[in-house]
Amino acid sequence: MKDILVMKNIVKTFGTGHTKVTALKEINFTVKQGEFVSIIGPSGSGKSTFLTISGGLQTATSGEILINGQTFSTLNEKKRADLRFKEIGFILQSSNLVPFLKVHEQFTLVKKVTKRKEDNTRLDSLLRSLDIYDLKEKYPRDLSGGERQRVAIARALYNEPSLILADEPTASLDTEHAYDVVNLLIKEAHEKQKATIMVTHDERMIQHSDRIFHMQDGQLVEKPFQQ
Amino acid sequence: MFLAIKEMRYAKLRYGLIIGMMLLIAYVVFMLSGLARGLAEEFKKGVEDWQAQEIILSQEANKTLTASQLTMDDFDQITANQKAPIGIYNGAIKGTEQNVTVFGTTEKAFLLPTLIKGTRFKQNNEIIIPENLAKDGYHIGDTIKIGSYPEALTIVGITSENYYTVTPVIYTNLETWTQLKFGDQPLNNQPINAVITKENTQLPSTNEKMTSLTTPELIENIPGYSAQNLTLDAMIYFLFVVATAVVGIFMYVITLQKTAIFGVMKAQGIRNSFLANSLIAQAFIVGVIGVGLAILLAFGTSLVLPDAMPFAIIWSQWALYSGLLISVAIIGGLFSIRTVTKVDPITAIGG
Repeated sequence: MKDILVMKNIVKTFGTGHTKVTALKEINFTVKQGEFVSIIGPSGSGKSTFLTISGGLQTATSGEILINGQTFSTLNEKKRADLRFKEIGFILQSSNLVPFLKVHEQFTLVKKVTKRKEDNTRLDSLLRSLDIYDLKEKYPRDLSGGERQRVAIARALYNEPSLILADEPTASLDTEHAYDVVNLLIKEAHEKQKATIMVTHDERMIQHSDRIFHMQDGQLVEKPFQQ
Repeated sequence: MFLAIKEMRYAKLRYGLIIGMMLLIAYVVFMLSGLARGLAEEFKKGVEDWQAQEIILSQEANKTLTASQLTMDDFDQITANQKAPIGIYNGAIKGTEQNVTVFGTTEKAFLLPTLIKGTRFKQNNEIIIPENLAKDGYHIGDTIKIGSYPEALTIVGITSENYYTVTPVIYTNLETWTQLKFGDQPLNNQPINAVITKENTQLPSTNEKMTSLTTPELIENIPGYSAQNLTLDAMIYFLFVVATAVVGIFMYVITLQKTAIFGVMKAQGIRNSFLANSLIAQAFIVGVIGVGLAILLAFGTSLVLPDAMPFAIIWSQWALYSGLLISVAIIGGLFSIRTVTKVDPITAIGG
């Protein structure tokens, strides 16, 4: 299996001198194609920093990151934006949907940005497979939290990224819907062979992951498989 | 354009308000322009219609027609392919409160306006009046009295609308005009105010009391004309500044409210330029719709304005103002671009 995300000796510090805080300490981490990895940790453990660095939203103080074979660390913001757009699907806490676009227009936006011409057959089958085809004409405000996250997952998958980054995707959901969303993410990761990283603080959500890591004081510790 | 239109459709009220502001400002611009041009037109039409090459006044007249004093002797010394003497008298029609401008000239003068009815004046005490005066109930054959001149003047012809310094223009011959202006005072030499010429004009080198002007120069020096235009134009220019500020402020507030969603879109890898274009597109749409509606509204208003409020639509000027208004709307939108580019995509994650 191909390595999708490779982190080599990633260090991230904020501030200098007395106020210096080390958020990430020498992280070495790899996620392969089709792998669903959960990262769990208390707030302030460096989870968000980890995610923003793997997503290319900020650069590490030192170390190297490769996304699908391309170095992220040396690119400028514009190039990083393009790489994010192509290779990474984000699923965010509340929702990564644009509030003033109907569900199907969320995908038109992607097409507009890429200037891609294509009909809707691929989109329709994606929406059907996630059971949200009937929501096409609705605005995000008219969807339930679970439906919104399904649309967000579809939005993340639509670009066919190699890496899916999910930041607390179940935070705004009740337990039942939260399980649904996580199971859907795992299913898509396996079926579509997407490397997926889910960051969460909810222990219950991680049991079906392929691998589980603990983020503690800026370090990732892999948990031995329990099953 | 896609994001811009979809968002405006979603937030109809919000963008409706900005368009409403734009509409009101543009409406005032077009109304002021129409009224300014209408008034200007009534100031100068009579003179502009002469289509003169040069207007010759006396040197000390300070470029003002009424202040100029020449005689027919001066007239005879000027050579030109076409020339006509002009005398000007401002008076009121007896029994009404209608002020008029009376121009005295020769029967064959090239500058006489085309008649739409009747004939030119041939004898003393015959006059031709413009349509805008005839509308008050004057017909060919009617007589009127002007000022303190005791004799009745007979209307023999009617020209199309004509104004000078916002009063209707009446033409008559020099003798009648002299009677109107000077009464029975003994005069050595037939006085006139100016000589109007066309083509190959030459002033006598021996006569230094004369100076020549072009039509625009003469119009610029009509007392009150420049001051009035400057005032109205200044108001219009100020409105462009107001439009920039209003659109700028509205767009800025809306942009601030959207920083979270901009963060998310940027995290997803949508470029700054894409978001900035959408912002500019919105400002453009606001400008176009606001200006379009304002033109319709101003045009509609012009149809119901009373005659006392002259209104002239100069389409080329309205086109220019439309372009300027849309441009200033876009400039207003530009203020917010920095805010968009400053949003850090990192805000989309964690919290």
